[in-house]
Amino acid sequence: MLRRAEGWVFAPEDAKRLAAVRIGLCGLLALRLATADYGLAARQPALFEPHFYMDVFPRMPSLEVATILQLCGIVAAVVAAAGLVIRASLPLAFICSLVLHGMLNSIGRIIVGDALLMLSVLVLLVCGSAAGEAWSVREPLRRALRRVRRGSANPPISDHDFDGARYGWPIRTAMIAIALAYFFAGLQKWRYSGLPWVTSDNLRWILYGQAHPDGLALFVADRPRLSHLFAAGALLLETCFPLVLFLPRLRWLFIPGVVAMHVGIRLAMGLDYSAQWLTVLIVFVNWPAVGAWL
Amino acid sequence: MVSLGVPTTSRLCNFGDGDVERCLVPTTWIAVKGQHPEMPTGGAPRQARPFVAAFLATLVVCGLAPFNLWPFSNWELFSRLRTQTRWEAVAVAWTGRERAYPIASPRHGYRGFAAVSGGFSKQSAAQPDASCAAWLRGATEVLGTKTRLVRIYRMEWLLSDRRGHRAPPRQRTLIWVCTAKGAREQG
Repeated sequence: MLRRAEGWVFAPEDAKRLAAVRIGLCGLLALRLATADYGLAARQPALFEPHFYMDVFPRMPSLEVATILQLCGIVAAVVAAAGLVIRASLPLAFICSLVLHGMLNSIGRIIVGDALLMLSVLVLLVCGSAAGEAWSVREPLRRALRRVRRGSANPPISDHDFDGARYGWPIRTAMIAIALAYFFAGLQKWRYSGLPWVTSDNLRWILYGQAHPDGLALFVADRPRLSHLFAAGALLLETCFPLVLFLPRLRWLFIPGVVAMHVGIRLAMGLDYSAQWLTVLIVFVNWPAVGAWL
Repeated sequence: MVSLGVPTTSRLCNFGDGDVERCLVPTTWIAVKGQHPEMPTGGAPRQARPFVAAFLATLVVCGLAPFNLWPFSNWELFSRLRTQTRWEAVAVAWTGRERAYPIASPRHGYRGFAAVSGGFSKQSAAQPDASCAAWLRGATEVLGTKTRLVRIYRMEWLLSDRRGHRAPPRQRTLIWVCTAKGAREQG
């Protein structure tokens, strides 16, 4: 069984598919870095409770440091999305993001929303230059330079026809990570709450317990049967998500389901898991195939 | 013309001058050194298999143990049953007037408020004092320089008391008071 799993993970894949994942994840990382408020942590140095790797810092990094990291991270992520200097730009973007998220996680509560994005970027980082071999601005730049230098001995590589094992394993490893994340989210509910997570008024309490529940939250919370249905749906979706690895057709059900769940949580509770569901879409959808179909 | 004579699934690899033809062997590339230096070589890199094994093992261990080593989370998201209690903060001015202090709101607030205030009694004196000082400073920034202290209440209520959109009456118990001198436990 391990051999079969290894064979699946390391099966050949189109370089363009990995490139699409690179562009999507790096673009999303740049967007998250640009829109998050890291000053929230930097302005509260007294509340610094270093989490995990943040122990290396004796105190909360200052607002100036946070700003520099944010700018460097955004530029590095954009450069990596373009496929340039990928062995340097991707690690730099990752490290900047790691420190900035570490700051937010070190003021009393650990925020999970960007964890899947970071895990997927980590996998991309380890695959090295393979992520930048297709759909990169590198080749057009080289062609332009060659024209300036009036040609060179080497003809350009077409970036349309690569495939091989070096392009498949990062995507499938990220898929497994995403599947495990949802599975464990479901498993912890079974573990700490069991069936009462669905059968009790737990979801209603979560919705009612907000400082200012909005219309959607109250609509669901006021209807016990609807609340139980949503609770059951969420638990089933999370626990059974790994099935998409074995039965690809189920992705047509589970991926939209997961997106709908997170959008619903945002509307009803104001919690932003957009980085998570966008990571799911970027990794699981075959974007070159979508582009060809369109 | 250089013929590698390398058996592949379907054909030989032939490379002409200045001309590169890709030859796909099941998991590896064949590249002729000097023909095109940028052509990718090999299948998955040597570090791929050990990395994948260690990466997935860490995910599983952190999920099962559970350890929260962000981004290797334990994924304990809303996993525990909610009780019908919450924590709230109220800012008190020098005149004695109380104002709700939205301490957990994203722009000015502190996302871990409920977790931290609930754990005050288990911490050494320095941590609650530091947290209180920060919250008092935050209340002054949000609500003005007349803020004298911040009171932290535990709210309890029965879900069944709700009437339509009206929230049920809540029982409020004062637990902590934050002043310029630090945190003081009540009761």
